[in-house]
Amino acid sequence: MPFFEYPDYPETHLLELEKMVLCRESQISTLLSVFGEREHFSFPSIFIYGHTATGKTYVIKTLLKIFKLPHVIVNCIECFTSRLLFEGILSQLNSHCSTLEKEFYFREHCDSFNDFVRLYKQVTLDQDLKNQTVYIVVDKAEHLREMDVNLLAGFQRLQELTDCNVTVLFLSEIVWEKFRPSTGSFEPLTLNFPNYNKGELQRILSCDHPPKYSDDFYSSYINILLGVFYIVCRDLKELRHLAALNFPKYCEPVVKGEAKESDTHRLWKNIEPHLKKAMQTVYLREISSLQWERMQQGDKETGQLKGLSAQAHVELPYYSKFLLIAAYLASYNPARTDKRFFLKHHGKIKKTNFLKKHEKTSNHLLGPKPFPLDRLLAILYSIVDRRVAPTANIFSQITSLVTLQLLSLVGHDDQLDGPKYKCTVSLDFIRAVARNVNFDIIKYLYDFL
Amino acid sequence: MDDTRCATSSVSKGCFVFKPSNKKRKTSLTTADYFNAGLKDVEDGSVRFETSQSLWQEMKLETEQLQEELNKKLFDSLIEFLRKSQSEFQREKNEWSCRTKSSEIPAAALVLGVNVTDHDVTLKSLSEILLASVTPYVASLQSKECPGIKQLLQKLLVQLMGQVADVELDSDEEKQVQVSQRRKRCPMASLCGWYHSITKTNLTRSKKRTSSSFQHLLFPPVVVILKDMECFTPKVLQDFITISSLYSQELPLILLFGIATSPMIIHRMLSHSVSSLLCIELFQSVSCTQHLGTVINKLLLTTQFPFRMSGKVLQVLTNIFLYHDFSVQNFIKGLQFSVVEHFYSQALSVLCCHLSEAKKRLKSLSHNQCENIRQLPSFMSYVDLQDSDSQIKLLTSDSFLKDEAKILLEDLHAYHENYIPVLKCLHEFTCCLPKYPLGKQIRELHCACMEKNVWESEEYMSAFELLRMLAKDELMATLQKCVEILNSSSSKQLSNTLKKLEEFLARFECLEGSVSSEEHLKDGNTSPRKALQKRTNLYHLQKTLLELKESRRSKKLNNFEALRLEVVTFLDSLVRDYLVPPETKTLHEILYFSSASTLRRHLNAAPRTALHMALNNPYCYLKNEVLKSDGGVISNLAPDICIAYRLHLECGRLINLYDWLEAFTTVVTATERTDSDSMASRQVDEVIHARFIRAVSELELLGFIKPTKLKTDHVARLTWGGC
Repeated sequence: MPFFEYPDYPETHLLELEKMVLCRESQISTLLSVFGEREHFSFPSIFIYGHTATGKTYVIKTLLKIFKLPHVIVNCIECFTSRLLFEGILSQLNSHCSTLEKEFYFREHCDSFNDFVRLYKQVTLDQDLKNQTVYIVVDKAEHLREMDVNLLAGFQRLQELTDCNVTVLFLSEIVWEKFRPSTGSFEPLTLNFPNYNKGELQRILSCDHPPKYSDDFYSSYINILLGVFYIVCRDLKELRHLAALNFPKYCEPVVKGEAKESDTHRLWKNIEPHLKKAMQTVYLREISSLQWERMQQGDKETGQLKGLSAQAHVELPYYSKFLLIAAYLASYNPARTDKRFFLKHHGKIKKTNFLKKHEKTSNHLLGPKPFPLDRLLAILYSIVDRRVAPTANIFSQITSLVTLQLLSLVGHDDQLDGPKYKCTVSLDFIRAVARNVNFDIIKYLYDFL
Repeated sequence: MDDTRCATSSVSKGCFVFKPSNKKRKTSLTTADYFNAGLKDVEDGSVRFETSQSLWQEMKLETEQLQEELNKKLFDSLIEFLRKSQSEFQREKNEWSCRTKSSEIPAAALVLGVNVTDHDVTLKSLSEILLASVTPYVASLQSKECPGIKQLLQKLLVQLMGQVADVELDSDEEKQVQVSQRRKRCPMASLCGWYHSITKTNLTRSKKRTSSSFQHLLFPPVVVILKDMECFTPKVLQDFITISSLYSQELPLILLFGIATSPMIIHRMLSHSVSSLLCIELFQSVSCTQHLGTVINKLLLTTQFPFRMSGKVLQVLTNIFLYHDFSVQNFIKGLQFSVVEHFYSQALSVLCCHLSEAKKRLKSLSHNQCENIRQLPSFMSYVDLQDSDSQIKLLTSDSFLKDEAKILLEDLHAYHENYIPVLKCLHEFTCCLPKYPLGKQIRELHCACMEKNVWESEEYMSAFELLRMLAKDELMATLQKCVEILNSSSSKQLSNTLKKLEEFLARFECLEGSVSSEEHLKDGNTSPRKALQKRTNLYHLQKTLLELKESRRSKKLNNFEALRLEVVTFLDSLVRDYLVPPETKTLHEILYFSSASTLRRHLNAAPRTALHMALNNPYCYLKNEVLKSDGGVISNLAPDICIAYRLHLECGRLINLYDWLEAFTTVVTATERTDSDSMASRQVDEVIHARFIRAVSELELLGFIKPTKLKTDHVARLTWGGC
């Protein structure tokens, strides 16, 4: 007896669906009841939201496929202009029935929503889709907001505009409240796909057990894996990937004959530190999955592999280092204190009554402040021991620091008159640079006085 | 027509030699014409030009070869990575682990260093190598071409599919008559379709001819090189990666990120959800200092090329490299500039070629050129040293001069042949000393030797002080290396040195036989040390240490120490014989380019200083005697803009326009005031007013001042500093 009971859909299909989709029973039954029968008009637009890897796209895809409903799936990241979106939908519709003619593409221009509506009607007539509901699935719908203004509202009212039997399904990771267009909006039916809980994840992950090993063996492995990773990651896709990556290591004692499949404790002892290491490296993409696999196979070369973040050191030309230091000082010291740091006879200035109230909070907490080019050069001249000629090379070095994203340009309008910059490097980075040129930067930072 | 004849197949910029054709060139001026037109001494102009060009061609070839070798390791590992990821792609899709693992896009992070100007060359040769050995589908993208995802995909498609893709993504253009089928799909989908059709045809073709002539893989990967990762907008990059991941099953895409700073940038630019779509591996290119070292070694520290640089010139070039840009390309450009400049400015540079050729040319020198030789400072001092008889001959007889010059040239070339191996030997000794008194790199040592008598410098003394304390195994290893260096050199004079060094080595080996005697000596040494341990009083300790030192100094040297001293003295004599600065050599001007100031002016320009100079002291550029002033005083004859500039230097951040005008009028009318009292009316002359306004707007155009809203009738000053 299938879980879903809908007289209008064939039972074999329902059973197949139940096998293919796990832990999404309530969502599916809602959807099926909204869809109704094939030729019934359905709700004009349905908005489905939920985190990454909660099965939104997968559920919709399998559902539409199993029941062989006429449908179109477009991805808004891929179709980044409205034209691509329209033409994508139309050409998919065109090739929907005429499976023989796969290489047939939509030949007419479709630049505006008006054209789209007109051509849509034509296509549905051509393809004989008048008497059944057509489903248009718009994946990554949050990108619709950045496209033309009328897109979102137009798709919501597509049924009304075309006077056809059509339902638009929006899939997004963001809640509907963040979408709501100002004009012409038609409230869609919203449906949430909640996160999978630990038990559900366990159930789904255990499903794809390798043919060589028993069900229990794999599910106990998944149990251990979730024990380590569930705290940091609930992304099903990522978990599947990690499970596949680390499974050979888990099997290792069994393959070698050191342990039996039922020897769970021993296997756990073997895999646990390994998984923890995986969490710090391969999960963060510090090292790649391929390298990780090679490491498991005991490749000696990759044994001392360093992650991406390990190599933070950047070798810079001599004056670039000083420019960067000067930029850092200019970004984090109040301009009024420059006199104190860079003039010889500045006298003693007490920190407390010298500064305004807001300057007393740590500048490092507030982040870098913009500074004009003149100040940067003035500081540069006073921190470099020898005389620095203001050559073209110095100026081009500032620009190349900007392209390296070590400095950033603030406000582009005033290029010629007085460009302003911000220093974007961290304290650790600048300390390493300063140490390299024997410059005690802490002594020059107001926060550390 | 002429243009097409002169076109070269080379992709790099530069000057090329064209064999003069029989037909006379009538139309456009060639580089040679420009070269000859500006010459001060027109002697042998065309020969000089051709010599410089062929010399530079040789040097360029050498650098290209060298870069290839340097990058070989990096490229090899990259190619291996590409092959591996490709085989991963082709692996059986049904396998369990492949099904469950999410398919990631392989990506290589290429850390290339901050010398962005060099990246182009590296990446270009990389893509050439990839095209030749891995895949015919390589596209390289630059951030400035891709401000949005649309332009990025457009570029990608155009590069991969050629003109098929066309520039169709622009929706507003209505130029397509022949509607291509691909146009209607999303760009990435059409790329995918294109790839499938291409591989299908490849497959059938390779089935037809089963020979292994087909060097690419059956499913060659599509490599996309993102040249400057830092400059891409994160959003564009993220979108691109997400889109390509949608097709990762069908299209074997591989990304190469060119990174200038550190691989951390990947995490800074890509969110976790995007970076988890990638399978990133790290590759590091050779450091630029190492690169420079090899360039100097191969181009300057060799007798292969007759052209040489003086110490100062080399210093300028290395300083630009180390202080400013880290760019090896710029260094090579500087080198090229010096070559051209040398041949351009030095009339006798016609002799700057290989010795045999130089001798031939020497024979056919004109009288004027002989006069040029006599004018050379080094030759003049040489003449002074001769006896009066030959002095007269040298100054009057051309043929005698030529004979003499021949010997001198031979001498100069021999000097180089000896100089380089000895320099390398000395470097072997000094490069491992603590604190590197003579520099870590051979170029530092080279500069030091060229500047003055190196053995008179303090660093040299301290280095030799350290050398006298070298341990035996180190000494022997270094000697061994020196022997190898001398072996590979062709100099005849150094064969004696080689023998001597080999003899030293043999003697050291003999010493090993007589270890026992040394052991005996050591025993003698240990007794005071033991005594030392017993003492506890600080005063006593100091005293014994002093005694120990005394005894050591007075102690007779053992065999090893004596031999060591001998080696070091020998090295010293070598240095004094062969490493004399080139300035002491006669006729060095022919081979050495020494105009460091020209080089600096051209390569390390100071636009601000030049502007300030021009405006503050117009005489410097205009060379008008009237303008000659000794600071402080502003001449009323100077151009208006100069007067306005000088006056504005005296102001603060905000300048009152009226005051400025007053001052301007005063200066301009300074001399006229005495004879006319019309100024008393305080009415500003209209002409002067107009001149002032023009000067001020010129200053604004130059970016010295800008209008401000802070105060009425004021302008803000954008320069700082004053008189």
